[in-house]
Amino acid sequence: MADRILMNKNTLAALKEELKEFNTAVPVFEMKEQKLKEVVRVIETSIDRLKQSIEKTNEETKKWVAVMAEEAVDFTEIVKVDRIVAEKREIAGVAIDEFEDIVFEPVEEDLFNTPLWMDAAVEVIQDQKSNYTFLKFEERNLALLREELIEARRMKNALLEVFIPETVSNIRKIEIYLGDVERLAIGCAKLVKKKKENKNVSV
Amino acid sequence: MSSLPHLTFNDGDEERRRVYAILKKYADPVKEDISMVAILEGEAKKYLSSSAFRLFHQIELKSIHSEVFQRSKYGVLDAFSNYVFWLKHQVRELRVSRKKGLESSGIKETLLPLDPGNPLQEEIQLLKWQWTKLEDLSIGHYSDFEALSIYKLKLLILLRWWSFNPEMGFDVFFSITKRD
Repeated sequence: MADRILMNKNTLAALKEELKEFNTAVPVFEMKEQKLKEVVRVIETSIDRLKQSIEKTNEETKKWVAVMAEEAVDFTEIVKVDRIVAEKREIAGVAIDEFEDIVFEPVEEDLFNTPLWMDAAVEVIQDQKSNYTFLKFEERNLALLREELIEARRMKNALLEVFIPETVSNIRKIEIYLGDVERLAIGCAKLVKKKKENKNVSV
Repeated sequence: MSSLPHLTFNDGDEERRRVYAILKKYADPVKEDISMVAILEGEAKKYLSSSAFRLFHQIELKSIHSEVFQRSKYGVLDAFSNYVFWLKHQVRELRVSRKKGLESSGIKETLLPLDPGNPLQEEIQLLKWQWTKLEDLSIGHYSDFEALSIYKLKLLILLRWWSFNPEMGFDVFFSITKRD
């Protein structure tokens, strides 16, 4: 908002229009903030669950993971991601990619020459890879939504604490000024009229 | 043969150190990081004919079921090779039945007396059966080529078991699951 304002009716009208717009925008930002807070909470819960699931899988796997130290199997050749399925969504104006599925290339195992433990290993690696991918999507979405939430909160606060009070104050100043000008004009007019009347009487 | 370290079906740092320490005495002191198998082969080479050593050198757990050994003139190699071949078939059947979703009945559908457990426990059971088979086959063989072959196979079984390292295994698991 400019420091100096023009004290006229046009400015007053413009400021009143601006105030109307500000008052319309406040509930929009409040709703946006509310919506984003809800979604952020949901994603935070989902992230917590995913982290717990990853930790649980790690703990379960640690009981037998020693077999994976065997150099018999190259998992980079066996567990290959074919594609990640995600859907684009818009939440309160934020475009996010929602994780749906991770598709692995079909595993062509030699069931005769590879060790027995390989089946369980492939299964748990695929599960854990899905968890990590899902987690990555959720963390990215959370960052985007938190950023937007901060922006919505900042805008709402700026409107409520800066723009609206300043505009109201400026409107008041102009109204007082214009009222004074009007009263001064009426006073002057009365004075001129009185002087004219006195002149006529003396003539 | 009698001066080689006695092998028992045990895992543990102490057991590994004991076996390696005794074998190391046979090793060339110049070669620092020589493997236990290499030490054994180096020692065996001194006493075996070139053709016997060639066969001895070919003995590997991953290929012991191959035709070369199944038709070996040495009864121990022939019997163990056929046993591993049979075992691999049974394991394959088990894996197929598990993949079809018959996990609970998978073991019953094969001839494997496998106690269901986690993959490490199951793998150790498979190693133990091979070990027991070698123990059975060792009767009557004390200082011949077949006794030496049994010794090498037992050492290979132990080395495979000892290669199951929890920290290294978890590193492999962690890196593959976090990889993009």
